[in-house]
Amino acid sequence: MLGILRQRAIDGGLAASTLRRTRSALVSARSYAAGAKEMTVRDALNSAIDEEMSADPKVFVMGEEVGQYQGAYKITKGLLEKYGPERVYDTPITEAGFTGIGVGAAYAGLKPVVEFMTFNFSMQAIDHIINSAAKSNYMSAGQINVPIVFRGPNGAAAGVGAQHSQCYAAWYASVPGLKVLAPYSAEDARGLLKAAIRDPDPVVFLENELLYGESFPISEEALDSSFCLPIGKAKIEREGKDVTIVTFSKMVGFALKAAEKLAEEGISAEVINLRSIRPLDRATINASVRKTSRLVTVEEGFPQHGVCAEICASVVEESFSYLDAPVERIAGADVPMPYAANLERLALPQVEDIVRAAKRACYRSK
Amino acid sequence: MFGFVHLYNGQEAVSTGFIKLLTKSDSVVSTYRDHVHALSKGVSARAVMSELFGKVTGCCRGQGGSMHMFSKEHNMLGGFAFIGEGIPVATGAAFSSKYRRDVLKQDCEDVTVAFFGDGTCNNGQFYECLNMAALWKLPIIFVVENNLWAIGMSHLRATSDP
Repeated sequence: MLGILRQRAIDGGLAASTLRRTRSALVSARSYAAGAKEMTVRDALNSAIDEEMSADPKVFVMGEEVGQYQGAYKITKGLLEKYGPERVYDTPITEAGFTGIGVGAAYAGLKPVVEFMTFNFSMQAIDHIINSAAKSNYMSAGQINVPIVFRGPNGAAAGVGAQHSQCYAAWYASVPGLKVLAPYSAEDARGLLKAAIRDPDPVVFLENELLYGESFPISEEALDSSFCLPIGKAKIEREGKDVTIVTFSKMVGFALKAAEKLAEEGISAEVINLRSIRPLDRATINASVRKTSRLVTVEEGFPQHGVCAEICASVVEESFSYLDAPVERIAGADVPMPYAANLERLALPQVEDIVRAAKRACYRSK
Repeated sequence: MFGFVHLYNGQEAVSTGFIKLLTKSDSVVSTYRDHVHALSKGVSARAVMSELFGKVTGCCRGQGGSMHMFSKEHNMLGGFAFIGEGIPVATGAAFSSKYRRDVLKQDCEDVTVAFFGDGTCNNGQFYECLNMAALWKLPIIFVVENNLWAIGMSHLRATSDP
């Protein structure tokens, strides 16, 4: 009896691994034949900075470990070798100081790309981001422009604890004078970072550490050095008609997985990738909700006064009579990020939370 | 007049003395006590006074106010409310002078003067910028205007080694 089971297991194993080998061969054959390119988010960001530095000598990079170390997360890999220490600055660990220096350089017409090792460290420099950068164009009645980009990983990573895991999207996006972007895919990363570097105003560019290594298909158009995405325009990643799921950054991937699970149960979800937190694309969000009548918003950050709160307010204000169910908000737990892996998982939205919220929105109608 | 106003009365010699030696393209960064730095740099008295009254004829159309005097034309790069805030911005302007000369190969000899008070000498950003200015050899002059008071706090009570 056991012998038969063992035999079956072995057969199944062999068959499965043969199938896997065949499948992977087919996939690579298909990719090769189709010429479809893939790019990691890391390479997308690196190529974007490289191209913009090449195109405009006023663009320079500044931050901790961006040069000799090739970047704490290797986003600035190779740039020091290519452009030299006068365009790629390794700074001391002095965020307030070097951020202010970046802002001052921007006042004087240069185009700094300031890296925060994580946006948690931006809190040391937040006075300069808000008061010296965001508000100066207004305070000077348009005389001073601040073409600076503040970029780095934002939000939770894996097991990095409470002081390294906060999401800053809501804080920065509430400030007039800032633009706040959050890419998801490699195409987003390239197009939005290039747009940010070219933009004459201060841009907060929120990346995600866990997305850096993820590969996405990328079009020829997106690989072109002139490629740029518009700031303030969301992308409909997946069309649907029963419920609108709005989110940004890593949660877009989770929302897409949730949409697949919902499709199995006959619920067609429309997934919107915000790309831009400020300006927020209220038009696209509301047009979608007017089509589906149901809203689920997702973010990793703390729930109170979050990005989802603003989206819900916008929909309730502008599309109230189109709603067939109360708006749904899925956010990170209202607790400093725990260290233990199981607690961390519980503190962040998971695919099943998004599925549950979407189902709740769908069963609430008359 | 409404809101905050921080007068420079009695200190005029400092601003006049330093800024008289600057060119129009040199930059000045100040604190909330910035009216006379703006005047010394060439912003008209009418524009400064109008700004203090929130008038559209002010140098910042009334949008900045007493503490935020900016003039791109005269390279008066503000007026900052938080003590120490202007120092990194000034260091950045000096950074850009060096960058223009060394990287962009422009004929640039502009210096930047940062004005601040005794209280600021206890502030972290000041030290961060002293270090980076020395590290990168930036064309910046740090001017401490010591009036022995940081708002209501005596320099002698606030500083471990006055």
